Amino acid sequence: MANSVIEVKDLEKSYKELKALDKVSFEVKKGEILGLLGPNGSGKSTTIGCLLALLKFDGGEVKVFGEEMTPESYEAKRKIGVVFQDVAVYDELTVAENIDYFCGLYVKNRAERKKCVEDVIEFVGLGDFKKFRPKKLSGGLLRRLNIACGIAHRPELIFMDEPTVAVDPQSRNNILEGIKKLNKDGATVVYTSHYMEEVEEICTRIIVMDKGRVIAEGTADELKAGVSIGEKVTVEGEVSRRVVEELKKLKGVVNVEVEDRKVEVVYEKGVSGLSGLVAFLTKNDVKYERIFSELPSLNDVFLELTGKELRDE
Amino acid sequence: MFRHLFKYNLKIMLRSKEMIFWTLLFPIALATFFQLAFSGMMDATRFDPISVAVVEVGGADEMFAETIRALSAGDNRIFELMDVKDEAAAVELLQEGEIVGFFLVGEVIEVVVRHSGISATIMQNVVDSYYQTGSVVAGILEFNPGALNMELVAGIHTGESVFQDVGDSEDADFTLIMFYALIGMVCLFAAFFGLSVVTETEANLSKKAARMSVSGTHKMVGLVVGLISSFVVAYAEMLILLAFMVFVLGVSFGSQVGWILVLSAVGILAGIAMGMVIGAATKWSDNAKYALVSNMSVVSAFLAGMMLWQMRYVIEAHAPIVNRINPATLITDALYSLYFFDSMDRYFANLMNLILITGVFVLIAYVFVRRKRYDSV
Repeated sequence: MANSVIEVKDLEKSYKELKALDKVSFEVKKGEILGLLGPNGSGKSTTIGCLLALLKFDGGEVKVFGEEMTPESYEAKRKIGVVFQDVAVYDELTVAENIDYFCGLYVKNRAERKKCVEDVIEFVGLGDFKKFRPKKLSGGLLRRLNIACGIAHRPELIFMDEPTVAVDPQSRNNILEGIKKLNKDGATVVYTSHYMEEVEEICTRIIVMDKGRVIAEGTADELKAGVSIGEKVTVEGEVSRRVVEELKKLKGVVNVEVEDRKVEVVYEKGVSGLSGLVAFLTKNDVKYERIFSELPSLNDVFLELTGKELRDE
Repeated sequence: MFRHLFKYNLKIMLRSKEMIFWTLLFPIALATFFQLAFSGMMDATRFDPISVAVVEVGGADEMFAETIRALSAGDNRIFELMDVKDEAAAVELLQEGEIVGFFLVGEVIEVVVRHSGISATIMQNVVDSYYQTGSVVAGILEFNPGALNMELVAGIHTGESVFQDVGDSEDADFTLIMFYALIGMVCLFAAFFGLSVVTETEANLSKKAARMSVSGTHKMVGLVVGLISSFVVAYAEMLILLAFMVFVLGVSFGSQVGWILVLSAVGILAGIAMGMVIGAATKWSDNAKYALVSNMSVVSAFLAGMMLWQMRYVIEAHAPIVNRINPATLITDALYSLYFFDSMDRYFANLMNLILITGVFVLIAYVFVRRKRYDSV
């Protein structure tokens, strides 16, 4: 446990009849980017709230940096940075003033704080907007300011609660790259999202949550290895009903689904079907426009675990 | 930390156009409007004596009739006393509209009027105060006759202790009540600051507060610095408003500047504390809370006489408790008493009530802001 930055054991919280967290247990190791993945309402933000000693909980234990986390854990709090889902900045202050204000809640020394502010402005790419008020910033820039306010004091542990919600693709890429850089520089990151692609891209380990419970845990590859299905090949073109029926009889095929001009062929775990499928289609003189193969995604993991799709939530 | 938070709190408050409008520019505009609308009204509002009669029946208290006669003499008299032979004659005058009402003086004193209103209220107040002062004298006579102050006896006779506030002053200008009530409203507008401070330090009320709560800074530090900053800004605005009223509009506040400043400070604290309670104890949206602060402040000032100077007399007659607990009325009455009375008793009574109400607000707010963890954020 010496390497653990966060230890959560049997965390429980209810809102009246609703069980928001049901015996949630996990650890976060130093240097990790841990992804908390789950649909809206799965308990990700509630877990973060309990970890930060903001929320009351009914049972369980939360340790951060080896100590029980309480509202009075000021030493621990000084080493933590939080980026909330909602942008939380002052419209009356400029970009630089906002960052300086929030950084000042952690760093008392003015010279040190000035350096922190300058560095983080450069880090999030807001150098040209230092004197702008938040209302003049685009949504993406505002998100970057929100992040800067949360990390300016160079925290060792960073919580990021859905920081890319409603962000354009370019800003999203900047944010994700930034998180990887923070991690490379030594920060441990806890990242919550319901975007599986993001989690898969940046997280070194993933915890999948649903209905307040941890339903799976591991690296992206480990999680995907646990699903029973294998490769999924999609064919776009004119495929006759006879050919579809023939496809279902091919060795290793577990399911075939047709939707308009798209046919999705799912193979057994461990079976590689693309080359065989291409040969079959050629032999049956099927004129297709596009064919591509996908390995199981985190959505498939979620589907198999819960019976519903993550992206549909 | 104090300097850092204080500096940024001042910046945030002073750059908030909406806040500055409501707490400074709006009151200045309103005061200017009052001055334009009511200049020259002083003559119109100078007290017109109320036509009354006194009817004495069996066991009549002769002292009372004499008191009414005294109050009906001189340039600044309160009553215009009509002579009547008996109750029937008084009723006839009343029905003809020659008198507003009459005092039926027997073992008890009754006030008979055709219509309720400010005149009837004043007549009833005369009777109440007569009994009140009379019982004080009776008490002194019973327990310590030597201590009887002749001035007090004279007071009953002339009615000074009762009637100063309705017309014994050469300069009685009832429009002053409107300006004083405006000061009361501005004090309560400081609730906007109190509400804002609580919203930005309670993690379940805003994400900025959540940021503060998860930082290495104690929430109470943020709260206390926020309240100090609020007080500094609200008090500076009050000084600007007072200076504008005195030097530009020529509103009279008397000569007790120090006590006016003390009253303003306590009034602003009451306003800030009220805002804290509304912010911390209610679960409405921010807009609803700001609307509540604004409405409470205006209604409170209305009841204190900001739009209609007679209002507080009407309240006094029908629901006096409201005047004892309404902060704007307490501020208005304290300013009024400073201007009109030599004695500080009434000022201090109002000030103490205001301090008490502020204390209650602070206690209620503390119950809510002392929370460290929340059910939801």
